[in-house]
Amino acid sequence: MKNNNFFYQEEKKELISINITPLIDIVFLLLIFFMLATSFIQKSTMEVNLSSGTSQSIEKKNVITIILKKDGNISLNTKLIDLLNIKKEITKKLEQNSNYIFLIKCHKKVEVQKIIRLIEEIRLAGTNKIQLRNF
Amino acid sequence: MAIKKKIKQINLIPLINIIFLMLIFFMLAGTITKIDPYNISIPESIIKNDPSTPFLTLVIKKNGDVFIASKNKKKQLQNKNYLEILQQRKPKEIALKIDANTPSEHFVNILKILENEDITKVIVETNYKKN
Repeated sequence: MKNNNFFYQEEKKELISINITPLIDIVFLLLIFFMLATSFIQKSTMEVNLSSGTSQSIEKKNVITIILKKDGNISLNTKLIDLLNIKKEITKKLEQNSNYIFLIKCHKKVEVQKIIRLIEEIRLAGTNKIQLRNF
Repeated sequence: MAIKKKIKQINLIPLINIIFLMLIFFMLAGTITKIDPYNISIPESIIKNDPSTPFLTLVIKKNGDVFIASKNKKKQLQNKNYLEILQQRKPKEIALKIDANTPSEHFVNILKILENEDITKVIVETNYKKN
């Protein structure tokens, strides 16, 4: 009886002490791989429709000029405006006349990031009628 | 002897649990990024749009260098003149991967060139960032 108990205990001990170190090693390696190889940045796109030669006559009174200066300052019809307020201002303009075309005149050296941000603010205001030019 | 035995048997199970949880989190929440051979940082946008892009991509670096890339990795287009390829293929849509710090003159110039090549739609690649 005593002997039987002894063997049972030995068997129990062996079962408990499974070597899990290789498993931890592999899991660590996988973790390091996924931490280095993955990113949480979400991709997006911005569509730009080109007129491709279709010249339309645009009335000057329907054009609102937005000037984007080299230092990033924005002026809407010669009035200096903050980027965060531009959506509100453009929404007001569109309520008056929905046919307004927004002409962005940007400095040659201004970064693309600023232009894209400005275009998005105008689009959020509810229009896609945007033209882009350099000065 | 008894103390020695205790030191040897550190309980690793909580550690393994946490590592497993972290592994599962990174596997599910992240997306594996491809190596960008051009090493450019694309602009950020606050509007979330469909991230799928057309077959051909124009890559514009900060200094104004233009490259053309195709989704078909077997065909190396990078070293060829991009205008030649555009004239041969005559695509209607093209993706544009431009560095966020590129001066706008390069951006406007390339849009004019693409307009002259009868391309009607340009899809600018951006990184979505919540406002």
